[in-house]
Amino acid sequence: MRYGRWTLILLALALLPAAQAGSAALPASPKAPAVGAKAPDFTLPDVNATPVTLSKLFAPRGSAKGSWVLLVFYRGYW
Amino acid sequence: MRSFQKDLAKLTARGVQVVTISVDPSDVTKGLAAKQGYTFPMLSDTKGDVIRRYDLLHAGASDGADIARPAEFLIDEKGIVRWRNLTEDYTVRVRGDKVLEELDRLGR
Repeated sequence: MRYGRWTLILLALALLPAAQAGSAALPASPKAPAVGAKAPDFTLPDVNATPVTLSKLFAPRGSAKGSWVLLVFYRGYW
Repeated sequence: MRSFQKDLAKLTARGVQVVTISVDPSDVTKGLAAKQGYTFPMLSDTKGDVIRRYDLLHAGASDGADIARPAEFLIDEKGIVRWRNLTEDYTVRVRGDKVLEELDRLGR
C-alpha cells in the first residue's frame, strides 16, 4: 500500500473535473429556436394568474414603436 | 436574473421587455419576485409545455423533476429570434451588460 494514498489522490484529482462537468452539464437543445427563426408563441400565467401572450407583448398599447422581448428561461425548483 | 433587474431601466430604454419562464407555480414565483424585488413578468409553465416547445427541458434534473435549462432569447417585434444564449453550464449565467452589448451590435 506504499502508493495507495497517492493513487487515491491522483484518481480523485483526475475524476474531479468530470464530476463537476457532470453536475453542471446540460442536455443539448437541437430544436431550440435559432437566430433568424420565429420564436414559438405561447400564453402562460404570470404571478397573479393573469395570462400573458408573447405575441401581444410586441405591440405595447399606446406605443408606436414595437417592443422586443428578452425571454429568460430559468431552472426554478430550488 | 438579479442582473436583468439591475439593468431593467437600460433594457426598457432600448424598448426591450424582460419576461421569465420556469416550471415553478405562480405562488412560488410570486414569493421569489417579492423576496428579490423582481418587477418584470414572471410566467409559470408548470407542465413544461412551452419549455418543451423551445426544446429546453432538462428532464429529471432537480430531484427527478423536469425543469428548464437556463436560456435567453432576444426576440424582435416581428417575433424573430435575434440573439440567443444556450449555456452549456448552468453555473455560468449571462448578464444584463452582455445583453446590452448584443443590442448595441444589433443597432437596437
